[in-house]
Amino acid sequence: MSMTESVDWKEAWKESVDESSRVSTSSYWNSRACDYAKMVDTSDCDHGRRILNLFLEEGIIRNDWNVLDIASGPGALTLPFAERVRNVMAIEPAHQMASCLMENARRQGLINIGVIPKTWQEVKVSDYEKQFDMVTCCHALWQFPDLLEQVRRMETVSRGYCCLAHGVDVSERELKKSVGAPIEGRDQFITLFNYLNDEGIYPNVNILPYSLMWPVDAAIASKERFVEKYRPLTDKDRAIIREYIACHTTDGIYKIPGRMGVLWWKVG
Amino acid sequence: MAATTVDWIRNWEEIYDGRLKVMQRDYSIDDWSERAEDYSERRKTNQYEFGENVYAALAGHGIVGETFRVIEVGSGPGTFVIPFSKHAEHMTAVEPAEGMIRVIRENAREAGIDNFDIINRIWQDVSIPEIQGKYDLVITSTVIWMFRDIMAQISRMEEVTRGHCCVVEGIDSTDALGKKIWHTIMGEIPYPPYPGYPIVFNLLYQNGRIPQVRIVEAKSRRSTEKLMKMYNVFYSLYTELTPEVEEKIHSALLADSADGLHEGTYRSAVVWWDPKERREMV
Repeated sequence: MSMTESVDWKEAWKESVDESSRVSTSSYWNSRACDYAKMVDTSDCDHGRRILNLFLEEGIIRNDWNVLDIASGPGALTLPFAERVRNVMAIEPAHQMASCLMENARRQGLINIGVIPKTWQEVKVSDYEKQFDMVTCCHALWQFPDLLEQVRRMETVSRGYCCLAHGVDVSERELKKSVGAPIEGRDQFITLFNYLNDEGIYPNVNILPYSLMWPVDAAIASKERFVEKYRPLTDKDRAIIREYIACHTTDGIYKIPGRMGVLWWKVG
Repeated sequence: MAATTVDWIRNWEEIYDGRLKVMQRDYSIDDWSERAEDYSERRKTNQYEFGENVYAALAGHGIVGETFRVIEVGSGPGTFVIPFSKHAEHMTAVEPAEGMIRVIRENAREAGIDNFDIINRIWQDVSIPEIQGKYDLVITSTVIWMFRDIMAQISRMEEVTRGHCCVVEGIDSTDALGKKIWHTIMGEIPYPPYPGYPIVFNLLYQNGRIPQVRIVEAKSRRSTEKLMKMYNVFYSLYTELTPEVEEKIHSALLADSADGLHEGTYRSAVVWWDPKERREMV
């Protein structure tokens, strides 16, 4: 008998991500590619680097590894991992994001990165069965209302580890409130944690601090695109966003400190 | 039910109360003395593999090390006292059952260990001001299900450490055999749940802590005879231990044992946190 059976975690997860998975299309991410890439660059891939460091400390990363990074964006995780392993394959359907990733790779002289320009759901997993030593999906799980199915597909292509990372707590709550954007009513991280446990996946858990750092212009653009996911932008929104960012900016850098929950396990 | 509406403290209390409702009587300290031999045999499997694996998981993150003073809440037969004493500076065992204390001393002699002491009390009776902040790690394994006032006891643990707290709990620790025997004896009465993992993670997280988890695996090897004793103690709490009940346990164990030994591999969650570090709660 499950000790948490009073909650249907599968349903709770689905409800929690339904709206964000609906509005966050590839075309939205194409419009966000430029500002997001600037953030990753300014942050020096902070969240990806922290995940890499976790596994380096655990002593499990090997330089002959092949890694699959689902929803790589401009490479926050792909780039630091590519510095340490043989090959990183990025799954990234938004072509602007993929271009930013390859441009970043070129700039850093990394020639061991490939891109599959599809959503993870479109990838035929039988073509990649047990091909990767680690499969990662970082800050992108909101696109999977059918999470378990997608996680099982990740396990199919992994011969080593699976690693999921998701933000803990809601960031920029005041700003979201001011512009009337939906604030996730549920803590998605704990929902994710309980959902996996209920399904018999017992991951290791690390809750790590990290920082997203944006140049001011990129920060403003990202918040404007965010509001436009839900409705047209007004002058009032523009003013609220600029004021909020100005209040949280030091030396031209808008910095959001946060925590992410990293859930990882060895595939049986 | 929406995830945010779960009150994990209440959930814990309900499980605790639900167990008592099914029981004829609750555990007494003498029951644990009775359990000392079989529990010791289990924890000693593969040279204290369970305790060693937990130590390694924590040491890998600097949560314990050779200069550390560690206190274990509810030491049982020396689950962590023996393996941790080999690596750390000093261990204190909090253990109320005389039978368990006798086994800790025997196991320590056998392992050549003397850098430990024993507080012969239940944890709830330990005076916190006397030991406040004196340890670098407070650790407990499969004991906290006995605390109805769970957060009060966790807060007391946090007070005695200047470093970290650690709770180790089995994952789905009731194996298929245990469930099968239960249904043979108790029929349709549902198996009593014991609060453990992942509830403890939810409790800590909901109450502002930042828990980290490592899943460890260890073997358990027990003689059928000692395992029989364990089941006898267990079922004496839930029903009348008649010769028929004993026979049902005995035949189920024999069918599941080889050469008089019962073996299994069990997973446990090692959950640790720094009490000084809190999440910002909205």
